[in-house]
Amino acid sequence: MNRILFAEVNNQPEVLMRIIGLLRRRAFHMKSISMVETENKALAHLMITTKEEPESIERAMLLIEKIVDVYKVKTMDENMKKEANLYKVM
Amino acid sequence: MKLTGAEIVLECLKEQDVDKIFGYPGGAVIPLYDALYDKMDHFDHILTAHEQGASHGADGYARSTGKVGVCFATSGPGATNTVTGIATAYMDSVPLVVITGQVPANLLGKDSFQEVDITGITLPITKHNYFVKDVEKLADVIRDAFKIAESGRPGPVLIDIPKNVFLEKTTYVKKEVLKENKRACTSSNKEIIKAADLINQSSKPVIYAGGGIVLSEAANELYEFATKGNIPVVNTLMGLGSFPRDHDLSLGLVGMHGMRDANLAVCGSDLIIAIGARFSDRVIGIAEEFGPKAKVIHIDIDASEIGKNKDVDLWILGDVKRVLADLTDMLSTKDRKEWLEKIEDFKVNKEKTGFHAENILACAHKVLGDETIVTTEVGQHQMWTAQHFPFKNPRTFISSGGLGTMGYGLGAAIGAQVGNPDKRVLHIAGDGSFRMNCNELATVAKYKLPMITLLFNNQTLGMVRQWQKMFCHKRYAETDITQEVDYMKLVEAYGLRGEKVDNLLDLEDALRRAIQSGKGTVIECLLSKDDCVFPMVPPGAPIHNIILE
Repeated sequence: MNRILFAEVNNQPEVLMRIIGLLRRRAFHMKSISMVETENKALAHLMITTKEEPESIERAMLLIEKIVDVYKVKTMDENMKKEANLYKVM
Repeated sequence: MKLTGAEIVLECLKEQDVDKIFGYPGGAVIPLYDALYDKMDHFDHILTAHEQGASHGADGYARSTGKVGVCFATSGPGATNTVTGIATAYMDSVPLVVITGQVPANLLGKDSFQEVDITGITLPITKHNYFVKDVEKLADVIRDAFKIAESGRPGPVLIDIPKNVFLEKTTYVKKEVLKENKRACTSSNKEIIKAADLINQSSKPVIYAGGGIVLSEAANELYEFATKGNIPVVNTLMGLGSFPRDHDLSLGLVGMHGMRDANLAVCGSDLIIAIGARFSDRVIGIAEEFGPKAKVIHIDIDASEIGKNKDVDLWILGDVKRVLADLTDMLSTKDRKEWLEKIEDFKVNKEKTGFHAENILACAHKVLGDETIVTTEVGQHQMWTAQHFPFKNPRTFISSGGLGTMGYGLGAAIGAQVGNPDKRVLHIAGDGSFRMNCNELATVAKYKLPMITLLFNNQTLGMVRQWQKMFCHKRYAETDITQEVDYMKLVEAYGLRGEKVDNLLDLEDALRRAIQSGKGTVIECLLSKDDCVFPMVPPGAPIHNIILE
């Protein structure tokens, strides 16, 4: 089943680079990536859809949490993603 | 008060009590050095021979003093030359702030002269990095950088500043640095009680002590903890010095080149207490075989280390200093005589004779003493030092553990000597590592640093040769570096003292003369290229699979 890694981050392109770089190095499978500005323009929501096992996602979350520009990380399923009404940009 | 960006950088460094800067000027940082020209009464700037030396210098300064190391470099090659130093610091959790110049904003993205995307390059090897486009934000960025570098698990932070930002002016308001608790303790008392119960029930526990103890200044707490419970201590490379090696409970280095008693104690234990250590592959060999019957307690400040390389039964997140103090209070006093006697049987008591590394290090320790700060390069000499130099105090063994950077030790020794002018600094190098960055002898000469280099010259890249001997049927591909450099002439060219020795008596005399001279001295020790580092565990094998000779 697809799972979604959700993170609230500073709205800067290098945050996306940091997170994707970190996951790439660990051969983390990414089906889709989206990052959108929130109502508060200083923040963005990042969502990565993946088929990784929960254990691998959990480990990735621990690493993402350490990034200074990241405020919150959680996992979602696909239904929650629709509710979140976020747009795919990449 | 209106100041330029360059002046703001220096004022912010003053706020942080920085007075030593390692660096190298260049086009993009001319305004920064111009501002520094007026502040030479406050700052000691150490001009190295190469930016890599500056980054290792800041690293050695940080590791030996516990302060944040600061390094300046210009844009382009200046910045890329610091990359190995930054990666070295990142792998060993060393707090650095590296400030690089960048081309002016109007030239960015145009492949301008000396333009490189250094924040992009250093993304995976910094704890955080900044590209400062706006002079208004500069002061807060620098303050945040120091906070990030030294809080929690420390690490390097890079700040990239375009030349125009150094020149623009804005209002600067001085801020007092709040001495916050750098490492919050997040675990609950419940976990500490559970851990204490596990330890009190254990009959064969082992403490696996890592660099986190040094970073957290927790050596005293570790001593109280280990001696109250009579628990033997094995050390990682980064953890050497966190527990006195001459204590009966100290088993020394563990892992690939670990001591036999240290490795076998871990394998036979029923409880491993990992403290500020990360279960590196060079330590654990095969994860499942590292204490196969042992429960594992992991104490660390970094949640992402828990369960990364080895499954654990219980973990405590937080500052090891505070956790150890709490844990010691709940510990029962036990003698664990049977377990300690069993470990005693694991020891190998085989003394080497002649001019061998083990005896050279014993001689250096006898002459130079316990307070000496020892830095190493990477290779056989590094492992011999880790095995045989009896470190007693934290921050006295400075070596590139995670990245394994040949060429690290001389720069680091310069940093350690600058940060500890009253202490003896001994730099131990192999000939392969030494020739990588020996240009920094110019820095030793320039600042009249009285440090001593012990150059282990076996005319080969010894550690690789050892692997070729053991695992590649003695096919010595490109590891011989025979007779290519006359090191004594090289040392003389830098105006330093050089001596060449091939026996212990001459070595002792040479060391005493070096101390007496107060001058930077290189003592070349001629060794056999067939000397190998033992014990050794073959790569990919469990750590009880020890080759002794």
